[in-house]
Amino acid sequence: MNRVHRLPLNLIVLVASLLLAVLLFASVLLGSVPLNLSNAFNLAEPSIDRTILFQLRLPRAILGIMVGATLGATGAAYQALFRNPLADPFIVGSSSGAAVGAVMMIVFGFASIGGAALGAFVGALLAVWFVYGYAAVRRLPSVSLLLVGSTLGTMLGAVVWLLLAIHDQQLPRIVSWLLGGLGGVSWFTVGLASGCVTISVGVLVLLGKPLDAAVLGDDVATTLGYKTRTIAAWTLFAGSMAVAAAVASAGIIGFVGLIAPHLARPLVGGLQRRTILVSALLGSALVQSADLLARLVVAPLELPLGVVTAVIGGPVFLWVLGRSRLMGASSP
Amino acid sequence: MSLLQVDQLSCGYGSRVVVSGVSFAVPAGCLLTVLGPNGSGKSTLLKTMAGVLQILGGSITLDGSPITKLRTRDRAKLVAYSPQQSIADWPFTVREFVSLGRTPHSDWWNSTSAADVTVVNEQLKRWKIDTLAERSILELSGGEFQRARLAMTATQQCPLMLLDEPLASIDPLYQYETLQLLRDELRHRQVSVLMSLHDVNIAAGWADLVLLLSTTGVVAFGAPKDVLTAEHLTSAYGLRFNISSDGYYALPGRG
Repeated sequence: MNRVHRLPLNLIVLVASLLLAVLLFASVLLGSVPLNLSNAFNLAEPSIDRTILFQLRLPRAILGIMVGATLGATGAAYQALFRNPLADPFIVGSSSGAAVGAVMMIVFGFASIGGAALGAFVGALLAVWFVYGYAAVRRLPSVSLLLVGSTLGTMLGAVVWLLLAIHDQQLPRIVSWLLGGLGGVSWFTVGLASGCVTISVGVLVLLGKPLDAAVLGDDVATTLGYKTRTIAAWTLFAGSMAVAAAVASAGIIGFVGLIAPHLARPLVGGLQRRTILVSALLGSALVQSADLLARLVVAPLELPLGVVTAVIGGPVFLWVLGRSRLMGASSP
Repeated sequence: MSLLQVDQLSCGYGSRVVVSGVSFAVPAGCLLTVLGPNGSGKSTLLKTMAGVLQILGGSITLDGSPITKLRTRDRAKLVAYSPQQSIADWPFTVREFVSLGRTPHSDWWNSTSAADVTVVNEQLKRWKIDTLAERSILELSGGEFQRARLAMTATQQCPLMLLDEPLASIDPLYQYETLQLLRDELRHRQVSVLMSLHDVNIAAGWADLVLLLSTTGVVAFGAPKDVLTAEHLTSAYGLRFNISSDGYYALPGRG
């Protein structure tokens, strides 16, 4: 008999948090330039170490935690909402919406004043609102949001390529944004992103119980006392808010939101609140590790973070898939 | 007085009426089976009574008050529903799955209370799945899963349970045990159960009341022996059953 052995949730959260703390510490200490901590904390005199620590590495590490938490929590919540183990945070069109928004701002020359981030934020929200609005007006079931989302995603992807084809002189700039990365962020960006992400991830964790009902299908969720449209609206609103903030500050980072929930479930089981919480922690750990690799492998150069997560994430996902047969993928 | 009163009910999808003019009453502690050919509207009727589909006409009264006036959340404490198609595509453990039946009884930010745990444990035992409690529902056999699903519906502790083909695709022994457990639940808590079926013999042997539908409407409603006559069944299914002297319904032989 294949019993599910489970550790207490508190212990899992504790271990994951410790792992995250270690990664955060490593992320701050390691890099192309060795860091002297005593210099950095010597407040009497300014030092290059202090600048590196407080202006470069710390904001970057904190952004990594926020972006990872967003991808992990949103991935877990969307997989439940769409009852689909392959859903990821970008499934409802937020990544392509963000890409169009950012690319338009770059093309029209607003990139220098933080326009790319703003465009990405607005683009991501507009795309998700369109998907949700269309499904609501046509009274489509929650699962159809997925199809509307991927259709819109493909269309917007084509718009990005069109803009790139027309304005090819901006190509390097656009491509470097599309590939994703945590580098060179200001405390202002980190602060804004942290605010959006903390609130949204908190809301998603609280939505765990309604999402448990949503997993059983619209009909059963209704007879358990929920309005499925309301669950979908809140989940999409919270999720797209966080994803928009994450994409605006770090670009498109694939696979983390897809994998983190699948790593969390064997640890915590099928209930959504636990899964969303632990998936957020694991997502942070994954992004933090990927960013370390991106910085260290070819130091002093950097690999694009989105490339690292895709190259490592793909095989990891296949491994998880083969090991756990995912969820409903095969019958007993 | 009847717990459930249905008057001139029309149901269907949007503007398409599937079944209309349905009237019946069910006292507390009764098992009503809904029989009828595919497409006669058994599932549509149950979904409408569950509040999943809008009422297209008529009324449904539970304990004297119309259930259409209830908020979704309040109705969830009165009417439990188990749909026909499988809902087992998520790696819940049996215990987690059954616990979801407690959803209407706690607020959305709360975790399961001690009282909920007691109810869940009791139902796990009652449906004989307490030994499977920590297993994933994806690994259960058809019969085991059907029981877990009924346990979840029972855990909701509603006076009215709507079960859409709860005996489909399970073997005769499991069917028999399930029916016994269901009758226990009825006796134990005085709930009413509406259950759709395809097996005329089970309806004849186990139900207190039978509602027989055809693709054109209600054929008959009442006690099994009054409803399940050769004429009624022929008009519902377009098939002449061989009814033995001791009340066994057999399909016509190939001769």
